[in-house]
Amino acid sequence: MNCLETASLLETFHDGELHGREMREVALHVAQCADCEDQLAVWDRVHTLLNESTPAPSGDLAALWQGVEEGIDEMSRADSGWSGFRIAAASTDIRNLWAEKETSVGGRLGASADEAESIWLRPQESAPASGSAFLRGGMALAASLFLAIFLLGDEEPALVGTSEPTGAVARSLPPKTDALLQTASTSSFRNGKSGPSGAVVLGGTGGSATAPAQQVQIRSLKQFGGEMAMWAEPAGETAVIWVGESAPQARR
Amino acid sequence: MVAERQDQALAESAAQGDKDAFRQLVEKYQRRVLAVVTGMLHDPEAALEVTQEAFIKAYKSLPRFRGQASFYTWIYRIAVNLAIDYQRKEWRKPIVDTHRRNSEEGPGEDAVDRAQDDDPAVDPFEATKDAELRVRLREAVAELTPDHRAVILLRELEGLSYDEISQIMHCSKGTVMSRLHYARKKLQTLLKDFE
Repeated sequence: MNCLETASLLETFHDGELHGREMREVALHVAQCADCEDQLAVWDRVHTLLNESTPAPSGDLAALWQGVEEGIDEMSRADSGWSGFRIAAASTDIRNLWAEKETSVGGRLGASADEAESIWLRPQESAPASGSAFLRGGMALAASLFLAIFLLGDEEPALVGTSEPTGAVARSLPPKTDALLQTASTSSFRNGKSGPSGAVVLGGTGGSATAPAQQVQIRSLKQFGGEMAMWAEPAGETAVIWVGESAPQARR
Repeated sequence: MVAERQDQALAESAAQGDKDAFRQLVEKYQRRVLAVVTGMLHDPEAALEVTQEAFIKAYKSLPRFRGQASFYTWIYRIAVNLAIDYQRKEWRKPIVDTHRRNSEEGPGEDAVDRAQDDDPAVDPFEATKDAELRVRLREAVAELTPDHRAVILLRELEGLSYDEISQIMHCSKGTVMSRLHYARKKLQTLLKDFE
């Protein structure tokens, strides 16, 4: 084996990833070749310097577990409070917000933000309201409601969702409405079940809103009157999706 | 293999809600994960935060961990991805190398002192040069893309195999080799320029 043949294998040899006959041949060549030996020495030097120059992990490792444990506990609290709270909100307060749509824009925004916050902070039987994640969740919900009301504008809500299979929802929409909601799994819609199930794809353009397509997990679903509200969780955010003849388009 | 089976058993217990089992996993791997994340971020506080987040995320995802990979490659993967995300979010901000910042008054002065304390025969000029080289090397590593940086740190600091790195980085073995080669070439050039 000469230098040219060795060149492509030398780094793999250095990393101990070469085996069998190739490994033996490269080793034999390196033992006789000063240039290849020098190259190996340079990589050894890089290795040594990298280890010497990389900052050693600092910080209290005991505190690390403490932080992890707190995070886990916080996560568990947030999960246990999800459905009870949001379904309650869907069935009462949010519907009330719809009734306010005739008020001025400013009034609506203020009302929605305030009400969302007060809903969230209301003590829940199944959801201890503590921890920053919980508060963040509250903020996300407030933001969602804010958007929902804001995007509603002065127009009457359009028909958006039905219980059709994937894709049918989009096709059934009037051209100017555009699709904001496509169901990837519609059994929950059809049956009006509450609880985690299925997934939806949000995306498209509706009115002044544009949302990139993304998949979200349904976390809770509630039907009340002619409307249906679904709470979903795209990457940690809260999405509120309305389906029904008197409901507006999907809102994020 | 025994260690992997133990990890798997602990992961299964933790997935059932056994926090003590998860604590054992955290304590087993926290130092190694933190070392790589610190190497990637060059910010001990951020590294600690990202490492914590990685373990929290791992705990949340334990029900989906079915042992296709070993626990440590899995936790590395989560941590490296979070570190890469963190860097991408922070990319507009200048990298503050706290070690450089600490030695701004004279690069490597601490190292020179340490070297002289250890061995009075050490040439102060050589010690200063070495210290400066390490600073430059850290900067060179910081200039690599997050993917290249992750690969070289996983290899050089943790001594992971190409296969393990490819699992962690979710790329082919060939990509690992090519990233490693590229990163080494950059660092080698720096060495040649310096020495």
